[in-house]
Amino acid sequence: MKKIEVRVCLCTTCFVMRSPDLQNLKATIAQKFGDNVTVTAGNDCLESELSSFDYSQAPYVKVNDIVVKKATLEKVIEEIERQLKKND
Amino acid sequence: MTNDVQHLKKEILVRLVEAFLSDDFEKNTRLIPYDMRPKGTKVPYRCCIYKERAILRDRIIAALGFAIEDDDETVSLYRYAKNALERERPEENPLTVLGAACKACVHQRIHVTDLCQGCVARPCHTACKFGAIEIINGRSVIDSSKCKACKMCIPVCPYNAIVKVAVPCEDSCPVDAIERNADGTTKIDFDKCILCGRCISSCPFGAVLQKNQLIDVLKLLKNKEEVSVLFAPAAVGQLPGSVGQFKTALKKLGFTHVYEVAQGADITIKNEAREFQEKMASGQAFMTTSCCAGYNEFIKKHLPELAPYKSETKTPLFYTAEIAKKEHPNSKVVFISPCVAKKQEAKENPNVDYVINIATLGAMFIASHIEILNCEEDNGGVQPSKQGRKFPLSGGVAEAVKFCTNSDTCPTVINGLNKETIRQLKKYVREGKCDNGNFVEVMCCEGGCIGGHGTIADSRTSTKLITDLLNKSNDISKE
Repeated sequence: MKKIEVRVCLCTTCFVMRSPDLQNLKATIAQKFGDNVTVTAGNDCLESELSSFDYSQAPYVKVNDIVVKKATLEKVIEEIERQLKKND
Repeated sequence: MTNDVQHLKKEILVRLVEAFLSDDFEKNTRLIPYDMRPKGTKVPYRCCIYKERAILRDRIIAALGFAIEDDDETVSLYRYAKNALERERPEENPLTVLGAACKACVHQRIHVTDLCQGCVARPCHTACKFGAIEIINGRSVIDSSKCKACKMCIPVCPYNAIVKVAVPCEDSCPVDAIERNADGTTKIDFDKCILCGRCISSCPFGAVLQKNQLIDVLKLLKNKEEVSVLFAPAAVGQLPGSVGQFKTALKKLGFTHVYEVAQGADITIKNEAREFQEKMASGQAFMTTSCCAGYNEFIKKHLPELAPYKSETKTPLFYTAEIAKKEHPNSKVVFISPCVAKKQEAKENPNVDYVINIATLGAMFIASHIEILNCEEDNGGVQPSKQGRKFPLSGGVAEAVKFCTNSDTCPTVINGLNKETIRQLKKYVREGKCDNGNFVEVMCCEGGCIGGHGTIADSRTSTKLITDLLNKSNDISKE
């Protein structure tokens, strides 16, 4: 099975605009998906990858190649599940 | 529950700072509702785009620092922005209610829903001690004139058919300061309000707002005035990066001098420890802390009998502001706060000029394109102790005083003011003693200052980040 990589942005914009539940993303995902999904976080904001970075759409989370805008825990989990299903 | 509300509030603040930094603040402020809801776009929350914009306009009035209740609808945002620039002092009463967003929730009551099956057992009828439940047409009906809202009927219903109709602002207010206007919308009774900010956090419509002092602070920075910024210990862990990077980021915003309020917390610890030992030696049964502004307001307005038991030691903000003024007598002083209650404390302290919360500061960083993680470390200035830096975590103050006193210190913590803990405090006063200990730490917000409504991170994240900092900090000297 192809692994899913989730990248959480820790830039100031994403941190400030973040929903509180997203801050526990790593623990929740580890519990829910185990080794199938890896979560990385860093200050390499996704800004550079977006054609138009808009703080009103922050926080951004990347699930493989898909950028989730206004990311919440539910949205990220939904995208992971969609991609896992596609991989099956 | 309030994620979208919080997001919306932060977006407005960022847009307002952007407008301020632009070449035409007044005009660009007037245009914010149109920029956020352009013609033809989807209307996310209200009945039409016009109401969306009208409510955004009201939110901007609060963000500019004015009371929405006093709004004259014929006055444009352009004029409000101009008035904010011309204002000499922030307005009284830091909270304001956005009537057009307030749902005017029906009064709190117990309600039997359609799930009621009119069962033969009728446990609700048996459980009600006030005879308020009758069976009409085979279903339970509550007589509101008899119902005392004791909620005994709710858990006994096998169909979960009985519910308490919630009014979030009223439910969350620990001191019954929420009243109603004639149209049912919320009104705050400032004679009772202790500025805990729970109504702000709890309203799912975001109808309770604080009058922001953002523009007053931006004005100081724009005019290149000498400004000392004092950041609360709770600010650590609310934004990315280290304390040193955070200090650099604050200087990039234009603040001249940066102080960690944990520095003042170290003075509070020593004074409070000394005072505690003196009071215990004189025979006093217990002493409470005095660093929480919401708790101090609570004593003033609701339980003055508790005042003799409260420590007379000043807050960390008080001591830090005193140091800042002594070192830079001509500088203005801005406090970065986790809560709204500190605005009241600042109003009573001539050494503090303005208070903004951490979320507002975050908006300033975004609009100014300051990336904290890319800032250099600034490790200059006083390094506060581990104990001083632990003040924002519930139990931190008690632990610090215990560390600096003898083994007879028995700390106990009131972790958040609510109806239950208020009853507990009243009992201490009535009996003149506290069964749980002799040093009582009282925090208005659950979890401590990190639970304040003006924070960004959730308590788990901020606790972790603060703990990381504590591990790098030294113990306070006991001398």
